[in-house]
Amino acid sequence: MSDRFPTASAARDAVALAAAGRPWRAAAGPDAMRRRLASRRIARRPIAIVSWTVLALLVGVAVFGPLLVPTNPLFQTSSALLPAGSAGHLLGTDDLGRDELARLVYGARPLVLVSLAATALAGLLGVAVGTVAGYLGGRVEGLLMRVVDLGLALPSVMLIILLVAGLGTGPAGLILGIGISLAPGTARIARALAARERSRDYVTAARLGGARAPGIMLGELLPNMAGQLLAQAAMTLSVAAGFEAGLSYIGLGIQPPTPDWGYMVAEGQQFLYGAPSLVVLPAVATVIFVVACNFVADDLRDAFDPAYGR
Amino acid sequence: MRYAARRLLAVIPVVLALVTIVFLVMRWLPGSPASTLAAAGAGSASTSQITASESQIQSALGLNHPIGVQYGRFLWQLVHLDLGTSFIGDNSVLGLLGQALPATIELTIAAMFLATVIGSITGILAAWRKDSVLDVFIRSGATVSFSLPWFALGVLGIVIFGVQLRLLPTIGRLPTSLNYTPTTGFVLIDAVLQDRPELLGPWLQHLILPATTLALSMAGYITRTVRAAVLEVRGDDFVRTARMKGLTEREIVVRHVLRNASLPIVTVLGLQFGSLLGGALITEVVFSYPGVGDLLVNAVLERDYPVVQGAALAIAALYTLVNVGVDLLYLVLDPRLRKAVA
Repeated sequence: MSDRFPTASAARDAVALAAAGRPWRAAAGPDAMRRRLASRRIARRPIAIVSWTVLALLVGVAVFGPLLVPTNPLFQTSSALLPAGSAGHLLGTDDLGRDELARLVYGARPLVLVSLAATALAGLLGVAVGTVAGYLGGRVEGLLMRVVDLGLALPSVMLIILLVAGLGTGPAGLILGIGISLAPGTARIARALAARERSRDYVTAARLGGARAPGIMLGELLPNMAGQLLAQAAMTLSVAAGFEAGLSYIGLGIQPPTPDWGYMVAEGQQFLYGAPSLVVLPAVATVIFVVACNFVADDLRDAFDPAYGR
Repeated sequence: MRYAARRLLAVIPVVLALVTIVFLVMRWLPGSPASTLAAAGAGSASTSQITASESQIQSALGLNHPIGVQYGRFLWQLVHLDLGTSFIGDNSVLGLLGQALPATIELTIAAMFLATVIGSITGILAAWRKDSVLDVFIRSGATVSFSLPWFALGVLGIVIFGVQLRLLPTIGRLPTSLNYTPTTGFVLIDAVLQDRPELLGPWLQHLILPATTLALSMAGYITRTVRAAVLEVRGDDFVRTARMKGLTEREIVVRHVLRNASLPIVTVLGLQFGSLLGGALITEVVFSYPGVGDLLVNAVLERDYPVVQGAALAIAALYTLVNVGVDLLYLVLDPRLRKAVA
């Protein structure tokens, strides 16, 4: 215990801080300032604004898509491979005469929803394991991180392919497969953050105030790790989206006839010469989503981790 | 040397763990290969007939033994480098891997090379013109490139350079008309061994699109690393000395700054290799490039256990070896580390 209280006065300060109420707020005038700075920074950077908007729009399309386009994306007409701008089909039709615009709008759903769910799963698993390991240290940390390292000892794409092959294709398999294989990366970061925070005065104060480990982790550590974890989540989201679409592209993800951007690209590849838009539109849409996530992650990191990237 | 030996020995438990994971995942897959095979051969046969031939196939494939026995057998065969035969087409898995692995290694090396070149040039430019429009542009480009989905990048490359501009081939590794029969499996080496220089042109043409696809998603990390490394040493004494010696800026960058940045570059290459290898799996499918990824994905789709198992093991082994290689490369690049280890 001695290393946690380098001097008697530090311990006394800590008690005083604890008595003052919520120590991390009391001690963190800079924190509130940082938040103000963060919002100002967002306003300053046009790329960040565009990216946040694009991300919000795509999530909106995924959620409210069916309200936006009246056409059924599965309805086949006799007019296949119509070019863009045809009457009744703004972006043309695919090889089975299905409306391409409707398929694009509905195709956003699996990408956005699966990658959000997978990110949430990876975050939940990773943060839980990482925080416990980082806060408790010692043998628990050794054991947990050994498992994490094993997860990182395989290329994640291969891990996902194997997991999805085992769990079955479709949204549930994808969410589990992508979530599990991306969790170790988050666990590493959460562990580092928790290990850094646990020696701070506010944690000592809470401990002296009689708080128990779970309470400290949830009530003290997590709020202070949240910013950087959020930035990590945005990065995970972009990776997860790439994996969701990639897996569907190679035939191990969302299955036909459900519209999905990755799987639409694979389908359209047969008509590269006649109707390249069938490939280009969903491919570009996927790239836009991933890139928007990247810039949002960058922006969050700028806001919450001033030391990063300077 | 002692360190190298120790580092290699430490690989064994990792590989064993990976082998076990791969084995367990394989057995736990739904839809046994027997049912797939039986259904495929059954046509209009009734369900009971399918079940009957299913159990026949299962015993023929050794899938009816308890899992412990299967695991023991699997390890025994692995030690003897016997990876079994494909359920489909009766090819030995080792033979299939012998053809596919060199292709994948070629692709990843080409991609790493391209990524290093692109990343170094953009990184140096960004650092030399720090905070200029160029710097901001390059840094944004690097952010864009992070985790770009390989398949989308690949097909967009096919559309632009293959279909619209008709500059590059979009499928495979070599045109079949060339009648390439592998000796080592590495086209570059085989071209020398078999005295067939005419292989090289088409080989490079086929490599450009998939390698660039992979390289682009990795170059951004190297750009960032090089930029940071250059900025860090720019004001250092040895750079000032070099400048006073009368070296041109270009000589300073190449001879001094870049060499100093080589260690972080190797670190990034090592850290990103797993992602690169994963990217290769998907990129190979996009370009029908006959590597391990193409093999693995098709085997998963066809539930060809032995091939999935073999391909997964090959990928895991390659990945582990490269990580060890990166550790050893540090020693070559940084004399201080050599001293610390010895």
